[in-house]
Amino acid sequence: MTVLEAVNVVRHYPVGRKLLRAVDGVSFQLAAGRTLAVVGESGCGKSTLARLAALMEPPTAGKILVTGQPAEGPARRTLQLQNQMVFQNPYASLNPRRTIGEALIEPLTINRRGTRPERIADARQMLDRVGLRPEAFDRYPHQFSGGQRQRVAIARALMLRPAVVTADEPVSALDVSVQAQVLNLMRDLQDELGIAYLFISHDISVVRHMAQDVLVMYAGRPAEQGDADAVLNRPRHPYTRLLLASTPFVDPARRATTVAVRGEPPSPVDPIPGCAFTSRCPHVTEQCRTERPLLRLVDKQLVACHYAERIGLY
Amino acid sequence: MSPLLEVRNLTVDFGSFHAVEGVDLTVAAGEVLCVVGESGSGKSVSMLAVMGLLPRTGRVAAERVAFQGADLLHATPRGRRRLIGREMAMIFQEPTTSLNPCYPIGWQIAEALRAHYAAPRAEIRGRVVALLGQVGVPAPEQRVRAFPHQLSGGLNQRAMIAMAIACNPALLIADEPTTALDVTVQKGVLDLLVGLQRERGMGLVLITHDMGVVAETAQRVQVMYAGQVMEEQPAAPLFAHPRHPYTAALLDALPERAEGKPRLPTIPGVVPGADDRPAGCLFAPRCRFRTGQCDAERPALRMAFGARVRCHYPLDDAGQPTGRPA
Repeated sequence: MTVLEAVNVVRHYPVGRKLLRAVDGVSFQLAAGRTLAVVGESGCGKSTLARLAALMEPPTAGKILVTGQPAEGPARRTLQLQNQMVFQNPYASLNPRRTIGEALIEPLTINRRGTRPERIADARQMLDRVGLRPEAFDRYPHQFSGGQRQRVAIARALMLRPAVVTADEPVSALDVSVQAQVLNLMRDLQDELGIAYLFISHDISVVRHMAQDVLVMYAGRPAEQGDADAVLNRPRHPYTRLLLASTPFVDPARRATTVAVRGEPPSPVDPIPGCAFTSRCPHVTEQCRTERPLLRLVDKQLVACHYAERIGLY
Repeated sequence: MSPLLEVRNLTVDFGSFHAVEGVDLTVAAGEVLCVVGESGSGKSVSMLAVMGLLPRTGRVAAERVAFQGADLLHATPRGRRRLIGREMAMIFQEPTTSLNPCYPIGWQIAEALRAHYAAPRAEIRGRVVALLGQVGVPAPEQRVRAFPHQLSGGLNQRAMIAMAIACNPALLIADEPTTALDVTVQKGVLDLLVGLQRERGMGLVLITHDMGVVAETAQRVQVMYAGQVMEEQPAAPLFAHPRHPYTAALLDALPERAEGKPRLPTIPGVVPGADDRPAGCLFAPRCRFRTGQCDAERPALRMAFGARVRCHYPLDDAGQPTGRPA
């Protein structure tokens, strides 16, 4: 069952007299119990996409559907409850003056779920589920480590039993050993509760571990998307290949031979006519400069490149 | 020949907290040493202590800190300033916060040259433009006048590198130089650093928490935990056969190494804080091979299987502890 769907969503922000095209035509479907990872560099629009998906702001154009219903009009408010967010920095996302218990109960109070004793019982149960001790209920965020705080943030996101959790770089601020604990917890909760994750990350190894589907974004648009194994092991877009080749791996066999990385992404306020990747692409031709490539099915994935068939062969 | 940098038994305390405890470190000319560890392991603090950049609340003690054979520990501030920025330089993590927002980057790069050399302005300006070109900043003649906020993170980090190598240092210490950058930009910056290191025969100390970065750049690796060096060996054997249980556990926890497994192996517990430092091995409370001896006696760094390891039972090629009572 599809619990989250984006249909050609666009989000523009006015910057002076110009428009910043943060997200410019992205579509995806996410089914219950599955994980879709959005990868890309800073400024590619992945966090904006997360905020659109979590219904924290409306798209300029296009549609978001949660549990099959379009998030428009009065339905928006109730559908918001079905998609909860976990943020990157657990030092900033928890109110330092509230106990962990209060943080967990708040979503239930706001939405008038249950009686106070029921809410407390529910919060305590959730603490246990995310692997925190009962004492945590009356403690404050500063008494916890980064990993424990991220557990609290996950618990809070789950209090309303959402169908989808949108996690924006949930482990980027954590050390490797703690990162492993939080990723394990997220997978356990997914197996137990059938939650779908929209998982925003820049770390290819983490994405490979967590996601079944991947969406690679570049300059606000999808460069390549589809099955994680296909996209990450047989990438067909030159940008995906650059991303993989730039990622440092521990295993020498995974390392790409040296790539020359040149240039930087184009400015999001001054879009160029053709393909956004032309300034950095090693295979660029005249066609790329004039004609924007459309997302099309090549092999098992959707690729926005005129030469996707050829690039898979390199 | 004396090593470029030699540190023996370095300890840094903040109040009663031991941030760094008994660290030994040597860097030879033309060598890349990676210091790797999680947050709070003391990897940055030990390097800041060597550079003399710690706040006064940090108490530094050591048997010896020497640069090119000359004692740094008892050097006068003036003597130290003559070395720092010229013979040994440092690059910091966040380029956008380490640069001064009120001055153009060209001015900031020239500052090091002005401090150490008496040269005419035009000559310094020419050197700055050349340096920016060398670190891969496009259109350097224009960029010398740019302010940090007008440049991307990657370009700012390149400006920082230009500043650090301005006086041709023999030793470059880079503290998480790419952590704030995107992977494609990180790749460019790392290639640049290693390229410069080779070209100029510099010693390079790279402080990082990213095992992938270590694997791709280091010749020798020092693994730190809770202020101590736990293991030290050349990079390739470290990743093939870690000898300390902490290193082994850390590598196992990498998602890259757990392909196909639904769960990642984790390290239970947390790094000891100021109040709960164990009397024995600092890693013992979290170690799967812990014994009574580990709790009672803090292991010394010793040679085993060609590596320096701080463990009573260093791991063999199969990852099993040697000499551990059954």
